[in-house]
Amino acid sequence: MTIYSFHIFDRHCNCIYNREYSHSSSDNNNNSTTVGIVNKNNDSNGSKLLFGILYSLKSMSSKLIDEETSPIPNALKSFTLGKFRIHYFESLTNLKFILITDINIDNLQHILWELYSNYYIKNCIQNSLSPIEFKISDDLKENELTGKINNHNFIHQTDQFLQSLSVFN
Amino acid sequence: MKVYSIYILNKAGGLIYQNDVNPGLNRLTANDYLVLAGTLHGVHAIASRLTPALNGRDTTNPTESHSNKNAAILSTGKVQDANSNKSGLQSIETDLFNLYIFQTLTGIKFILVTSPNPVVHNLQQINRELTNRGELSKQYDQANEVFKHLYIVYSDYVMKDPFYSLDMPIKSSLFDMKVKEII
Repeated sequence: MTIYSFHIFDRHCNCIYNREYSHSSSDNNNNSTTVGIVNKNNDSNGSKLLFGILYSLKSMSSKLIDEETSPIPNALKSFTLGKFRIHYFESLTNLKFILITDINIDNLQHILWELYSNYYIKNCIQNSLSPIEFKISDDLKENELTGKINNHNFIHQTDQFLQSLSVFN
Repeated sequence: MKVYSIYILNKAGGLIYQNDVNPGLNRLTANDYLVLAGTLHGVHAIASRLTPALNGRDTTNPTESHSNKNAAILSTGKVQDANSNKSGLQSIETDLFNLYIFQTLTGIKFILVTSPNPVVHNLQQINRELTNRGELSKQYDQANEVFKHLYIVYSDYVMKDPFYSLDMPIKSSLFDMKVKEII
């Protein structure tokens, strides 16, 4: 039972937060919040492929169910790739929260909701210094840092929250 | 687990068989089903690109895996598991349906759309039983059983049909009947 990584995509399909946890034993005696990497692979092909998969599966899952028969739109919850399970939650503002875990963890919807409602809203939305849109406009390309969540409190608190879960290790 | 639909995709991602066993899914146009099949095929291919690190991991101890393999062949009489879907997309869970993908060694994909599983809250369950495998993996095994039977029926009634041309849509009433028997 492991949580491998945590991604947030914004409504412009950019990966605005990427946190990968490393679980090697040598890291354990260090300060636990610094284990793994933050915002290093946002623009990597891996993130883009992940988003591509999510996007197609999401449209597929809404297409297969008739909108009239169900009061709520059908939402994608998770899917498995090889030995991973990918948990997915989308907010009404089209922010996509993704947790990549071990295949044996079934349902993390409430965790993703918690991450959104408690941590993202508190630290990023209610923070007046945090940008509303993380989109990098074309002329701002060199200043890449605006396109990511670099909020220390957010990183710290989500780390603590995820690491306190029994499924984390 | 109630099966809604069965799809079979050929190795190029074309939809060659479709059977809506139980109502529950939206009825799409024939073209939409083809798009759906193509999307799944593409996503499956992308997914296997995302998990390249996994493929090498099994061969860390070659001698042990060889002896394991031999034992497996002796006990089951099979060289390989029929399901070659190791690194690609295996299952999708949504609010209103689950979807499972089974890929044969020849690249044909069997897709099963079933009713969703009841919601399990993992966190409480783990405290009770640490070694317990996830409920969803069990469901996947269950779906795999159906796939195995489907594959047998496919081999017997489609591949052995002299009038069937490879990679073309399956229009065999006998196969239809046998599929209904499985479900």
